[in-house]
Amino acid sequence: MDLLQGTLDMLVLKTLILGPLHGYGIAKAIRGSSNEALDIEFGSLYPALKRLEMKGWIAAKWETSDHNRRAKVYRLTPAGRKQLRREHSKWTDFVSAVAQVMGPLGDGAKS
Amino acid sequence: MSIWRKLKYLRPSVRRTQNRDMEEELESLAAIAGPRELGNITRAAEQARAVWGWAGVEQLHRDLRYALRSMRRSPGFTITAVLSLALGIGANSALFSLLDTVLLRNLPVHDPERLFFIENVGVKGNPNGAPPYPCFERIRDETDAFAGMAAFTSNDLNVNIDSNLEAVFGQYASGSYFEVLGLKPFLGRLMTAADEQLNPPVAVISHSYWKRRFGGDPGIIGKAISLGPDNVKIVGVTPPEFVGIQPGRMIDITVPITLQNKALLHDKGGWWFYLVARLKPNVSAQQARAEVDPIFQNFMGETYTPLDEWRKEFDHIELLPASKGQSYLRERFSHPLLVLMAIVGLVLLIGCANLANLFLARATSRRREFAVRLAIGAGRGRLIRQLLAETLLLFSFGAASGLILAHWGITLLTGFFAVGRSPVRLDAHIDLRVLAFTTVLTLLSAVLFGLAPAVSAVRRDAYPTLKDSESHVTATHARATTRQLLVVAQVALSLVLLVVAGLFIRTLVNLDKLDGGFRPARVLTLSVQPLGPAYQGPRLDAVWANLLARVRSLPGVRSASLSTLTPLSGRDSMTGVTASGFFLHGSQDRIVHVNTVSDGYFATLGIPVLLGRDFVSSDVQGSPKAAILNETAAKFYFGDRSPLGNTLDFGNGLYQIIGVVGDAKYQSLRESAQRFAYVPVTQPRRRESRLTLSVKSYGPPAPLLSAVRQQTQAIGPNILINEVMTMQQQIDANLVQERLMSLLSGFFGVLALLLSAVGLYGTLSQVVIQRTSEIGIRVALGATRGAVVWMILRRSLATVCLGVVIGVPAAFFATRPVESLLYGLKPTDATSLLLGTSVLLFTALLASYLPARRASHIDPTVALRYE
Repeated sequence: MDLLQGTLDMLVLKTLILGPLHGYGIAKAIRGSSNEALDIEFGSLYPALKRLEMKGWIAAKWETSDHNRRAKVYRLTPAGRKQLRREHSKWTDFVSAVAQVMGPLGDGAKS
Repeated sequence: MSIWRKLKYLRPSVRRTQNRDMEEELESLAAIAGPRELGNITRAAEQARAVWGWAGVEQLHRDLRYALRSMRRSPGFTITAVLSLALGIGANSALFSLLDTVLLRNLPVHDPERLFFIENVGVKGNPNGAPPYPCFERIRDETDAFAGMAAFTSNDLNVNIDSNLEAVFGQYASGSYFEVLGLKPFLGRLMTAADEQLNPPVAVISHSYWKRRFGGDPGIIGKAISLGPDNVKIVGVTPPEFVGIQPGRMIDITVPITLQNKALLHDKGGWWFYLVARLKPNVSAQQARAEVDPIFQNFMGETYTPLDEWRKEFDHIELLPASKGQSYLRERFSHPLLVLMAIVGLVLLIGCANLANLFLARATSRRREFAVRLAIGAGRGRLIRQLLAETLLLFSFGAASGLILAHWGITLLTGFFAVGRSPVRLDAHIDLRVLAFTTVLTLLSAVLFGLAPAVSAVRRDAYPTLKDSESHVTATHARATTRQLLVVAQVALSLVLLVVAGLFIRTLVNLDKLDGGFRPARVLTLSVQPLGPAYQGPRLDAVWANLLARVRSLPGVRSASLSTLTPLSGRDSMTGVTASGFFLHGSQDRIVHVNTVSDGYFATLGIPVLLGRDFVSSDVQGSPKAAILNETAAKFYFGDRSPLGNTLDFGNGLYQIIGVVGDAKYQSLRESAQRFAYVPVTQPRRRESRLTLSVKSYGPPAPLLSAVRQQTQAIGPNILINEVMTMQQQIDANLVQERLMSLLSGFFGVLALLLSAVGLYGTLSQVVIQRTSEIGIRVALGATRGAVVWMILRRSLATVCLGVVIGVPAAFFATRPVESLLYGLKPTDATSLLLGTSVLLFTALLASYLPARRASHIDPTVALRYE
């Protein structure tokens, strides 16, 4: 599925609300929580991470994981939290508006 | 996103650290995620880098480095391109700078738009300076429209600085002069209205004079110098940008106008100065004029009767904008300068056509490179951006070198003008306006001639190119035609320039050969002026007699004479005369030019005596006054009768006509015949305080100079010698414009020719390369060397002939504006046309020879294998 840039940003922010993750972990999380429906290409995700980092909504730090592996781990910043709340409400408004317009398909055809 | 953060990423050190960090991160993630899980990491990194912004700048940096490398790899191309550009842009910038100084630049004064000259204008609309001083005073006192008004006139002044007599460009001006102009002093103070009281008399010097003569010494303030009998104190220095109100005339010293001869200040009939005035805010020029004109008309009505005779010259007042500075320079030089500008514009076009050709050729040879890059995924826009960087870099180098050339060119040109009796000192230099002009010109030519051909190479037909040999016809055919057309255009333009050069050179030759009515060979002239109260009355007469005797006694001197005017001196003197028996049709008929001369004048200057005799030493005070007419005057006043024995009345007694001499040109070589009357220096209309000594020598005149000087100074103290020149130098100075035009148009004509020859040579070489296999086949099938040469030459001839066919009518059309600059020929002069065409054809043949020869030596066995 193709995603708009803004939507991807929102997904990343939401994913991090449960705790900090590294880049690959974020990709896995999104895949997992969407039941494999959203398989984000790393090539799109990684720039999105950098973008969010530049905007100051997430912050990165080098950490050593349990297997003694170094990885850059991202966490939500307070500004990021605020942004997420904003995006979330915009998104729910958007979804209900579209749903209203679309309504049930009244032509009898099976979707 | 804050702008500061974005700016941080502009620094290469920051980018480098971030890059390294990113690489580490990606490595670590790859280790965690396993192979192929992350997909195209390189692309991810690239996208991420794009987030930092400034990708454009990085790219530009890279493009420029690449451009420099490729320029270094093809030095021939680079040097040719930069040189052509430097010449074209340099010449254009130099001329623009001159034009700017003469035509466009504003006076560096406060609010120049409010400054106006108050001028009399004749019935035909010709401006004539300011009304007489008493009228000026009335205008000043009785009008309300002006914030200030000042009279000024420039004069050659002789000043005595520390007992050294020196000649300077001086100016008499009202005390309010600097106030009206709104200037602030650079040092000390400037003149004010109070200084007109001459309490004490003050002087203001120019910045350039201050630097030149006093070495910029700040102690100059308060220094006393003497101007004739008056002692003046230097009180200030004007700012460096201000050189005077007439561009081209750099005033050294300004003194109060009240230092002038008192008689002049009260003379109701003296028209001798100019008037500059500043309008009050909210007053229009129209309103001001309406206030001034009635005062002028009243004054004229009182002073001049009958008024109608003078209306032709002094009809009403007009206010002329002063913002560019009244300038005889502009009248004299704007036309030739514009013509020159057109010429260098054409040269630039020709040079650019060459460049376009070069770029096209280069683009053709880089087709493969572009095709490969396009194939591996480079965006078309990316390639075009790189080409843009290359083109702009090349053109910038050309422009920079061009500016250096322009600087030299300007120095050369201004030096050219700065010789002669009244040197024209131009303050032309490279400033912001010139730089702006150069930049615009460079960008325009870069886009038109550099980019367009290069971009055409990066086109859809890239893929087929990879499979093809050099002789891929369809792709290169269009380009070849373009190149040929460019050469045709170059040939046509060169022909136009050659014809123009021919016209100017022939004009110069015509004028040089022109008989001025005198023999300039081996004649030296110098101005002699005894200064001081000691030289008055009969003592002055004695000086002149003494001088002639001494100089004539020098060995090597064939003859010597004194006169107020000498041919082409630029001086003039006119007066009204009544000839006996001549019926006046109007007051204009009375006007003759007058030259007061000693005996031997006509012999010295080689003016033939046609009738009667020359003045002799017995024509002195006491004897009947004698006068001589020139041929034109004699014919005008006396028709076919002999004028001898008739009389002339100058207003101070009757002069008897004792001879007629040939016409001579006094103002300019181009002038039409004027009426001249000569009176003896021993029986003058008034005593002359300055005369020109003319010396004709047996050998070259220059070695005699020191001896003549010695004899002159030996007569007494304070004898000022000035304006030393040989007659030939005088003629050269008179012809400065013609010499300049010939020199420059000739130079640029040859340059254009060379550029076109290079263009022709280049295209032909390319043709030979392209048709190598074809030629190989022909030779293999039995074509002779001659046939091959002819095949190539035929191509060249076709191009050149087409160029000539277009060029000839273009020349007819283009030379029409220069008609007024020519002498003795029409713009459609057949000789110049023929000469231009033959030179062109000859050069074209020469240029075609080498490629044709190369073609004829093609070894078929090599050619057929040539890809």
